[in-house]
Amino acid sequence: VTLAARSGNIDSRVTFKGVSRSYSGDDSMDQAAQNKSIIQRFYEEALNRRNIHLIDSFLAPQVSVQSQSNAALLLNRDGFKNVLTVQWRNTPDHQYRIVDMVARGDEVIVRLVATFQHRIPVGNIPPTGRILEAKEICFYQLQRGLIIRVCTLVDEAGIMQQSLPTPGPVARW
Amino acid sequence: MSTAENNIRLIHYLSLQMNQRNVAVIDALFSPHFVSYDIPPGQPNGIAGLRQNLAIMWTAFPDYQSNIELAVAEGSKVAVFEYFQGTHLGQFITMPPTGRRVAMRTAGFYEIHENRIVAQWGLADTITLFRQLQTPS
Repeated sequence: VTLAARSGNIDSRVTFKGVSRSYSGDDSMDQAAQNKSIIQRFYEEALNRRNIHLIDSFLAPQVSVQSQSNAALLLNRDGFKNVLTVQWRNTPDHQYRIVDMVARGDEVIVRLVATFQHRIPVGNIPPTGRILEAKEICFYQLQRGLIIRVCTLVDEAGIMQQSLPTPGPVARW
Repeated sequence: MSTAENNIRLIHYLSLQMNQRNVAVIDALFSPHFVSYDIPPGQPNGIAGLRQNLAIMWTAFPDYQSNIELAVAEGSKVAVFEYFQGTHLGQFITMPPTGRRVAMRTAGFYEIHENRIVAQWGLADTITLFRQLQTPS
């Protein structure tokens, strides 16, 4: 599996080269269950409790972290920690709630909702103090109990809708 | 064939048929009680809402193709990441056609019972889509 990121309007994306496959067998069920447990703990123990010192026990040294809406930005482990530090400073109440998870073999896909108070501008929209919800779907690949690859898709349009002076209707999970 | 394997095949088949604009399969692949958790309250949901949203996208991007890049199934659930590419040749919400090529990632979870999709939770990277449509040539 390789990760490729190219900048530009059309090609700025993560590619899933070599992973356009579907799991169906049961031989990897134990591994999948273990990996789901690791991802659950990653959110609960490291992210939601702001334990920056636990990040190294979940993320492999060679991890790559990428967000779809800024695919040109490929983070390593230290870069991810820096992003977390800024996020926790800007939105100290930020919490993740896992809604659903599907796993097979070394891959886990998580559906979740993040909630946080709107304390900093969203785009050009000034803070409203409202509690916002961000829907996310995240792909994780693990190797020997450590996360080696993360790709996240966040409903940024939904966040903007909720931030408007007159919020638009938003589908909720 | 396991339930997970069968469900994966169903989602691949749905993707193929939608890329060929074969709307006739919708009634066969979706439950009459289908619910999309992507639709804001007050807007048409169910199969009627699905057909309406497909019509919007096919009008705006008549050549679009959305290809599954990753699919993982477990029991009654299938999670997918897809890559959408098309040309903006028709009205899209309030935007007149720009002729631009666009691409974005989408992702979704499907719940499938007895070979019918009963629920869907999806996301699209619409921020990237609008950035591509609005960037000056």
